[in-house]
Amino acid sequence: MKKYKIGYTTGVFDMFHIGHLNILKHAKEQCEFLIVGVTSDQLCQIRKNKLPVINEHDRMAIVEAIRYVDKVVPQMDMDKVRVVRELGVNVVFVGSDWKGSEAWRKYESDFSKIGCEVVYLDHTDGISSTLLREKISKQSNAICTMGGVK
Amino acid sequence: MHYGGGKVGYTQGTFDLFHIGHLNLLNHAREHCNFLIVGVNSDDLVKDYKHKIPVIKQEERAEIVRSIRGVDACVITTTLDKMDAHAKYKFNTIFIGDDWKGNPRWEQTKVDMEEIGVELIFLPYTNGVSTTAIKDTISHV
Repeated sequence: MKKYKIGYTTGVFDMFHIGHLNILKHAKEQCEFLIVGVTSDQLCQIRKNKLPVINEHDRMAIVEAIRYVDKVVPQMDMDKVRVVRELGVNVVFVGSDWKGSEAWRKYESDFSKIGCEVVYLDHTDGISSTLLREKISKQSNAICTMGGVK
Repeated sequence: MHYGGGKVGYTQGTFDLFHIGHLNLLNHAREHCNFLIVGVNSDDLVKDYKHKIPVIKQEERAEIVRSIRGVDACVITTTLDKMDAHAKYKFNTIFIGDDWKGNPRWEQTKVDMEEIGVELIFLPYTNGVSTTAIKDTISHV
């Protein structure tokens, strides 16, 4: 028996990478049933003022195919309390980089009133969708420069 | 490797920046077999034949492929020679995207495989998605 029954985590999961996989794997180690909220394109645009490289349909399909994931739902807004209540979630997983933040201290307090805990998972160093974007842009610029010299 | 009976399938690729085209191919492949083995091209192999370095290193590419529900086993491979792969993994069926249909190397592989009793199946290629297309999108933002 695992510590928690129903777990929930959210993310954009743009250009699915090892950091995403580690979060899902470690989350599933602690719960029987893992639900993942994949952030919609529209919510990304509103919150981050940019669209993901991969559209929401494809991002959801890939997360759904990961063996640690039991169910995928679209994340359309920031109301996590409603989702926790509706889905009967016992634990919410989030990256440890959020620990101590004002938003997550509030979530901890709100969730505790409805019998849900927050577990902070270690962040995988050296990888993120932003870093990938930068790496790819740099590689492509390098190729352009090489082409120009030829 | 012990497969527990049934049809053993094999496919191989780089799987860099894992995308929906990769996933569709793996899911389709799994529909045609009972045990799916995926060969992930090593960084050196990609350097040799594509003359470029994958964005994601081989261990991470393999780890992601291994985590896909439909994949039963995943290995890092250092050769494009499918006869070598067959000697190692003893598959009955080999899969490749149908974008390679008509390509001389793959048509020859089909003949070679048939001679040793292995079926080669061309699977539907997902249009409009590729690692190159993703890289282009990012570079032109």
